[in-house]
Amino acid sequence: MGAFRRFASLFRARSIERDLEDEIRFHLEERARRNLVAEMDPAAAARRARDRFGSIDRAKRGMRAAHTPTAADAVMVAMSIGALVLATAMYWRAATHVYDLGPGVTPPVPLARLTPQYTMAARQAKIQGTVRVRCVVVKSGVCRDVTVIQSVDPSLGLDGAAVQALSAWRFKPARVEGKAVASRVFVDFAFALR
Amino acid sequence: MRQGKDKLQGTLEMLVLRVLASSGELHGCAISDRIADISAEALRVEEGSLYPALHRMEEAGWVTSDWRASDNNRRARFYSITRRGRKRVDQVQRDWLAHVEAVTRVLKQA
Repeated sequence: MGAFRRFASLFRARSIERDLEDEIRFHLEERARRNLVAEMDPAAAARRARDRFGSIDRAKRGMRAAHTPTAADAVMVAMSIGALVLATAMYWRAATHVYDLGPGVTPPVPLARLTPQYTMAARQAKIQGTVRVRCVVVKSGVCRDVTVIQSVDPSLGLDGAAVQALSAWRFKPARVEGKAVASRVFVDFAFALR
Repeated sequence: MRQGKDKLQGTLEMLVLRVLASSGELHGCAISDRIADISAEALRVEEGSLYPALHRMEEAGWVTSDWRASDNNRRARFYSITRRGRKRVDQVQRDWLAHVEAVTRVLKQA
């Protein structure tokens, strides 16, 4: 695209300048050579080549201008970069968004469950109750950010056992419009002594 | 005035593209000769104005250029037409011929 090319030209101004000098020099020499073939003497051949070329300065200015970005080019490039950043941000947000279960979200399905085991200390202390654990089931079906929401007794190991158990679970991920998405999941682990 | 200049520039670009479309790769000097030959010297622009036009057309994507050795072994910039350039010249030529035809009709009837 022209706008991007002209912007890129800013970074090769030196080689553009050298090229246009070379191009004009070649032209004048080639024209003089062709004039010689038409049986002019060398001085006349060179003079006629210069005359026929017109203003070298004007030609150079025109050639430089062809490669110089315009205000419209600047707007075009800025808008393209803006659009790219916006698209990336939207894609990133969509790709990393964690859904809460609700209408439109097919919930994740546990494929492999692990039951937490009583710790010796909790059993001896006769602790009973339910530990509520929250995690994010990512698209691959594993659990991340496993956190205790409701604790039974933090010191005797049941919370840790619940976190460990849920970390080992595997899920078929939640779906939105048929596509796998990350979702927030709550699991209750009931600890009861028999 | 401005429009007149644009029209002239457009004409030069059309001629250059036409020459490149039929002759393949040429440097500026050869393009100029070809235009002068075909038009029996009727269209002979200052050769200096050819180069800004070539560079603009390259930026527009209608021609590409390549530095190579000329037939007497000098480093020269050769231009060739692109696919977009061919489309462009066909379009411009159609418009131009339609314009000439319309003007001719008016001149004959008036």
